This record gives sequence, structure tokens and C-alpha cells, in this order.
Amino acid sequence: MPFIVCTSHLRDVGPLQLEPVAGRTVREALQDAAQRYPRLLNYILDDQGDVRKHIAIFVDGTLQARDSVLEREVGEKDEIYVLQALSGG
Amino acid sequence: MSDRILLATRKGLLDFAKRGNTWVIAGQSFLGQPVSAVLRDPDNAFLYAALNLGHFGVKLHRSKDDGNSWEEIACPSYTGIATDSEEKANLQLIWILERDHQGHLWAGTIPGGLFKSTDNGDTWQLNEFLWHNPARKEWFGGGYDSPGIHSICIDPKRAGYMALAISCGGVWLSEDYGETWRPSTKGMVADYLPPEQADNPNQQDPIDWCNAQVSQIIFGCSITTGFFIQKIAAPPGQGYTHRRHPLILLLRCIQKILNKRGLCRVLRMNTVIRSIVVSA
Repeated sequence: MPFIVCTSHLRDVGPLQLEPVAGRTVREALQDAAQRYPRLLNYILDDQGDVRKHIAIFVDGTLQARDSVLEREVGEKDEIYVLQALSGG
Repeated sequence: MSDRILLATRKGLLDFAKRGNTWVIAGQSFLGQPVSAVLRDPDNAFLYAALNLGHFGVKLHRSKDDGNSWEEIACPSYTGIATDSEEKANLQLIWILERDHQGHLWAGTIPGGLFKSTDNGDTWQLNEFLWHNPARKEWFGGGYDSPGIHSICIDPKRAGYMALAISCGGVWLSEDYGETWRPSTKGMVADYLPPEQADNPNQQDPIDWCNAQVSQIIFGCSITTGFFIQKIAAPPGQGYTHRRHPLILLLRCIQKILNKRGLCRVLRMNTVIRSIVVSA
């Protein structure tokens, strides 16, 4: 099973330690995590179900393109990190 | 006179209480988080606070104990909302929260949708009449990328009467609790538009809209577009009188002198002056 962990800024919203999730894609993994963290999806995805503009998702340490990450396949022991992108100046 | 002020700020929600002749902070919530709108329901003492968390989007919280604790509730959402443009709509900001005489909640948003809740915020419904009105295609953002409803005024005397102010989308009136709407901007002037469009009702940019505290006037407004202040001098829907405040005329003279002498270039001076005019 892949694993998922979120930035500490998502305290009370998502897992702050690596947790196993079910799913063959990042989207499925997030949806499975949302079963235990019902507020999670609205913090990561916008009203159209796309990854929010300033959210960064890494899979095994590699930053994923925001417009394709949800359909990226994940395998056993893959680690999904959900962070907020640094923006502004 | 009220003895409590709820202040929504970019750094949290502050709750002020009157103590003698001064005000003190009696409570604080969401410290460090931008609070874009706040509302207190006088019937049940519920509080509502809209947050704009940037990376994580817009959130809405409700307190059932007058601000001591909060729970996150459903937000107005554009999921599944049909739009004619290629760009799909997403909630960017809850700009105003209001409550009508029926106890229903209203939320004005960017990108311009109006939402209503009949169950204390558990669910929200988009106002379809306004969203699908062809006039909305002419709205545009004033300081933001998209247009937004920043003011919702509930008529204190006439049941069903409401007014919206939209930047930039003019002023809209309803007489049936929001079931139907009509534009009402006769007399307003948008000097930032080409002259032939200056009176376009769908592209006026009211900065603020509020109820006047007198019996003969239900709606008052303060609008600045450069050096103009527009005041209501008639009941709503019967047109607006365009006035120039003396202070603004003085500032404009100073600008002309500085520009003419080449001392500096004053491109624009924006001041926000709240003013209400009473009409008998």
C-alpha cells in the first residue's frame, strides 16, 4: 500500500505522519485518506476537483506536475507528500 | 449603540467589548489567519467566520457558543456549476455574509456568485437567476481577477427587499428575497470606462454599500472612482445623484497644479469616504 503524509500546516485536516492508504493512483489514495480525514480533500483540491494552485505534491521525493499528479500511478511503499508551495515574495 | 464589535482582519477575528468609555479585546479567534467576513445571527447567537487560507482555499466556520469554540462547516461551492466560459469557476473569496428577516444566510463571493443557506450554513445554494443572467458576462474584477459581491443590504422595513453591490458589476435589487434581480445604477458614472460606456449598469464599480441609519432612506452608498463620490438622494431604484465632495475638488486642483508644473506625476488619488444623504 502507498503512504501519505501532509505538511504540519494541515494539522487536524490530514495525516502528519506517513499513513498507509489504498489506491492505485494519487487521486484514489487521497480519496481513501479522506475516509479518515473528511476535511482533507477540500484543502488540497478546488471546486473543480483539481489540485489547488499553490499545493505541491511529491511522490517519492519528486515534485509532480499539478495538472497530472492525480492520475499518477502509485505502487507499494510509494510515499505521497502533500505540501504548500512557497509563493509570493 | 452596540457594546460589541466583531472585527474580521487579515490576522484573525477580534472580538471587542465596550468597557465604560473604551473598547477592549474580549476574545480572539483564528489568529494569524485571514478572516474575510464575519456575521452574528441575533436570533440564535451563532457566529460565522469566513477564512481565506490562500494555499488551502476558502473555509467557513460556525460557532454555536458565541465565539468560544468553532466548527468548520460547508462552504459555498462552484462544484458542478455550469458556466458559459471555458474557465470553470472556483470559490476565491467569501466577501460578505448577511442574514435576512427569514433567518436565511447569504454569502457574496468572488467570482460573483450569490449563495443562500436555509439551515444555518450546513448547506448552500447558488442563486441561479443572478448567475445565469446574461449581464454577468460584462462584469469584471475590480482589484481582483474576477468580479465579486462585496455588499448585501437587507431592507429593514420592506420584507423581501435586498440590494447587492458588485465590483465591478453595479448594484442589483430584489423585491422577493432574491428570487429575481434587476440592475439599478441610473445616475452612476464610471469615469474609468470609455465615455460611451460610462453609464453601463453592468460595469459600475461600487466600493461599498450600506444601509443608512435614518427612516427615509433605506440604502446609502459611498463610491469613489477617482475623484467622484456618489450619494443616494432618492429612494432606491429611482436613480442616484452624482455629487462631488469639496475635499475631493481641492485634491483634484492640487493634482492638476503638480502635474502641470512637472514637479511630480500624480496619477490617481483614491480615498474612501463613507457618506449618507438623507432624502425627505
